Amino acid sequence: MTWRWRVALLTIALAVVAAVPTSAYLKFGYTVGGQSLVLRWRDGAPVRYFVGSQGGGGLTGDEFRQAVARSFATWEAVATSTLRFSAAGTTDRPLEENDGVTTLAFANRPQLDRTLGATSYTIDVTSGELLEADIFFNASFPWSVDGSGETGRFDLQSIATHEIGHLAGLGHSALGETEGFGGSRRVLSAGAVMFPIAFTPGNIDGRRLQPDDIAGVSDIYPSSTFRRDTGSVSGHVTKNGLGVFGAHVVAMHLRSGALVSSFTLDEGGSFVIAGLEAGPTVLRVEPLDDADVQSFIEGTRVDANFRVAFSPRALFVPRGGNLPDVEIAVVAK
Amino acid sequence: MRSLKPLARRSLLALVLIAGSTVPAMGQATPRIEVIVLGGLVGGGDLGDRKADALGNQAPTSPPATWFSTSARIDAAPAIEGRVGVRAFGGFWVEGGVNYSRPEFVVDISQDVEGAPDTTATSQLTEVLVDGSLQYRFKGRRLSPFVLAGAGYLRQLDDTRATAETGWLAQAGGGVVVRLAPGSRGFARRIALRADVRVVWLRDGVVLEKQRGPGVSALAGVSIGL
Repeated sequence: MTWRWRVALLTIALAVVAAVPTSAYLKFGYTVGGQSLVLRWRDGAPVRYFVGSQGGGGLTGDEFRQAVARSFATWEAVATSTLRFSAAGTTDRPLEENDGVTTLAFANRPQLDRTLGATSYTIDVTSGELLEADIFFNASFPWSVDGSGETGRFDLQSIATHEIGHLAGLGHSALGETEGFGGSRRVLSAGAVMFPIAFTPGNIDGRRLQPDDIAGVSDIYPSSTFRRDTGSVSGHVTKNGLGVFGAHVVAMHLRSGALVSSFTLDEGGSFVIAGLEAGPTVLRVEPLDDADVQSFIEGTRVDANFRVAFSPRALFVPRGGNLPDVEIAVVAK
Repeated sequence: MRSLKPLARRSLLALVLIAGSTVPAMGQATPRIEVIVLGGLVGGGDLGDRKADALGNQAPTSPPATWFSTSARIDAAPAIEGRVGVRAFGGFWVEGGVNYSRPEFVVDISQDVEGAPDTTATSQLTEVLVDGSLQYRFKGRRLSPFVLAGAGYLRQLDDTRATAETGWLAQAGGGVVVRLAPGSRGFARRIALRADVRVVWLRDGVVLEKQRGPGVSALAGVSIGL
């Protein structure tokens, strides 16, 4: 196996803790009384976390802690996000949900033979506030912290960066292309650290956030200038005049080449993509068919029966504003 | 109007009215001020290519994996232009002008990784150029060739008018002024046809990775001496 699902336990864990359906648009959502709340940590204080004292998968405890610290630093370095973290020390306690302590630790779970790591949450269901998030790394896989990667071993820093994105409140991005491989899927390419399927062992590109990751975390924890300096696009994806649920909408900025995406999340096929660079942009719509639909959103209603299409309208994303009413019609396969 | 037939005189009078000119003062030997109305084409420009690149899946680092390719340009468009020229000294004139056009911003999208049909995405811009130029006009009784060079300001609005991109321009070119009745003592003496071709360099405005190359504008119209 050269790839692993990292979402199953994440979704399951969230369902167990929250006991309600989840939804996602870059960010995890939580529905209360028909209103979607964004899962996020409280403003004003860094997120305190402990790191397990034990290594695993061929790593020492020190190597593990240092790699995790680098991953946290990667997210903190996003200039347009206010999210900050605070290392509270190491712990020997096993991962335990709902103990009020955010912990990252190795655990040996060979039965999860497709899960490199997973994140679980405890949230305040009235506000969507994150109270605790635990990340486990599966010690039954071979790991590496080598600066150049190590053949046959998964890069701990890359996977930690992905899981810390979940810890921050981000869902999965669908910015990736995959192919069937032995009854499962293999990544051909990805445009976000938050894509749910890992790169091949030895790859270290998951250490670097991509524009979609940066837009996502900045949308949840915006700096004072983020909303002013970026813009958004909203509209609908339709097929035969009806809204398409679960379409993946990708915005490409024509100056930078940055790719930022979102989903249509209602029966009307409406979407919003925020955190876009201002300026000329094109939109592409594709079905959610490059990973398990459940990796992204509740999949029972997702319509993946349409062809990839582009918006016939070249867009100019306004700085500090929203460009509304972008209509993209798709046709069935 | 020695050389014009009555029909032509009527036409010229109509042009004067369209231009909204006031009746000029008579008796000046050479007009010192000209009001010019031009129409024609303003050239577009290539804005370059850009690929939608993701990361391929190789160890230790990924090569770019292209999901689709784009090629952007601004098409040439009809334009109207109003100018005012003031004779400075000798054959030198100072001119100021405002040019208005509605060019198309065009993005050709191709080579989609999942086989989406090639698409051309468009948006209509509103483009305004404001320039100041120095012109040297060669002497001639009926035909006066001229050369000009100048610089100015560029403003482009997208079709929703929510985004304005601004920049600068430089231009150089040449043309000819054709006096219709150079020997006349009447109003017709002040009327001339004008045509020019300019090479225009636009900087900033709607640009992508690189600045646009030079474009060409070709304009013609009528000039009225005051």
